[in-house]
Amino acid sequence: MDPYKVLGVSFNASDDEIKKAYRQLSRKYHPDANVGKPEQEAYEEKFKEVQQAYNMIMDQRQGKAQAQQAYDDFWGFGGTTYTYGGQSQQQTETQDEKYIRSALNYIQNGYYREGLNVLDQVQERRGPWFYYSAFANYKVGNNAIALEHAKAACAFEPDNYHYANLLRQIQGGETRYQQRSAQYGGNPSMYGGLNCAPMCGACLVANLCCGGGYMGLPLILCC
Amino acid sequence: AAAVTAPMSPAVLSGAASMADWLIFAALADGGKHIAMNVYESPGTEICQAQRQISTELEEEAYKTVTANLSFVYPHREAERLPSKLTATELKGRAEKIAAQYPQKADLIAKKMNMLTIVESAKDLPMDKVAKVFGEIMAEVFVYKDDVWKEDLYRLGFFLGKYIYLLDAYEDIEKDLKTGDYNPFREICRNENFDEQVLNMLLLMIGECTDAFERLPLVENVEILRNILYSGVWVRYGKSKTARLEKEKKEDN
Repeated sequence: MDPYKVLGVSFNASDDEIKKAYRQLSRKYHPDANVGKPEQEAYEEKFKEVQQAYNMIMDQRQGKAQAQQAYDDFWGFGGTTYTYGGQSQQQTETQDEKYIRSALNYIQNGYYREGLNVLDQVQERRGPWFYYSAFANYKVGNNAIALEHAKAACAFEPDNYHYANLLRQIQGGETRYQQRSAQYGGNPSMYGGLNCAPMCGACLVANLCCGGGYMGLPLILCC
Repeated sequence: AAAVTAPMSPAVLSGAASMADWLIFAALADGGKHIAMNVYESPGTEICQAQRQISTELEEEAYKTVTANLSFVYPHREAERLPSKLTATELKGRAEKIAAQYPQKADLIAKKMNMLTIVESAKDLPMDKVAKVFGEIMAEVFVYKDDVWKEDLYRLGFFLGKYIYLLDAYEDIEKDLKTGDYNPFREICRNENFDEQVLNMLLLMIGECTDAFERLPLVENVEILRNILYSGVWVRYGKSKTARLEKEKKEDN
């Protein structure tokens, strides 16, 4: 499906325009709004379609579509000397290799915590170890550890496309954040001094308008 | 009901006496408008086997009493640091009401607050993992409804929680070094590029948070929220850093 067509927006619509379009359409097609009407069933389908379209666009825009591709391709690592996954699995396999194979199995099936526990047992840690560890840690929310390990993997194999991709994905949020925060007075990484003024203005607005939600307490303490 | 008091660990309360702390309390004390019944066990809430084991044994006892009647024993001195509109007693009362109304959510949060003490006293735990526990608490606060947005809300809360936890730790590092209290940065705080390291960690967290935030179809008030997330959250960092630099100058002279 063409998600942009479904939402009735152009391909280069802004994120905010996409969100407005989604809001309008999801209100129109919402099951609760159409109970008993002749279009009810058709609109229910439409409602799901709208949701799908929105998710597709958001995924695309955050580079998650590429990430999914990378994920599917995850096990296609090349250029390493480790022999996992089918080759020389029997008596010649070292203890480390056994662990890594087992960890890989867990991680491939979504058992990240178990995979990480097994990885812990491995003595000799090279590119693949750091790559799997980075991936699994990222999945369970340890993104700082994931970043460290992804960088280590890339250091071991600078030409490894998959490692580089994972590193890019882990840093993706921060990259997008940097792009956006320029519009809002920037963040400390952008200026050497500590420019409190623009932020205080923002804080005042934030405090005034968001006071209601937290019993009038400031959401952000300020000067 | 019998007023069974299970003291929340003083270490947790005293250590957290700042933005993180009262944000949670404030949310709990909110008139229940935004916290819903549904407890949501998300993909992100994995706790490793060992931790789970330790925590269940210790938690069994505390857990029972907390479930029965959530009450905070808030050290008196810390009451001064609370925003003036709310006294410790008021807070306790409201928290109890909310906990009674939403037992599962309060349950989970209390459990994780206990976990935080445990995890903070464990040696050599990477700071990312310690921050994660607080992240999970904030995530619970943000998932106010079990619908299609719960995953995004969870991520938003989770990474915001990690951000807050680490920022708090950065603010408190000097004080904690003196008192010997736990601080996740105690190992790296004497590094030359410590401030930069912290900044990078914070950026990493808030980046993930805003990714999730931007997925939500927010239209009204979105600019205010953006101001907070892209700018406002750095105020305390700025102040902390200034304070640290000034202190360093003094020490140099």
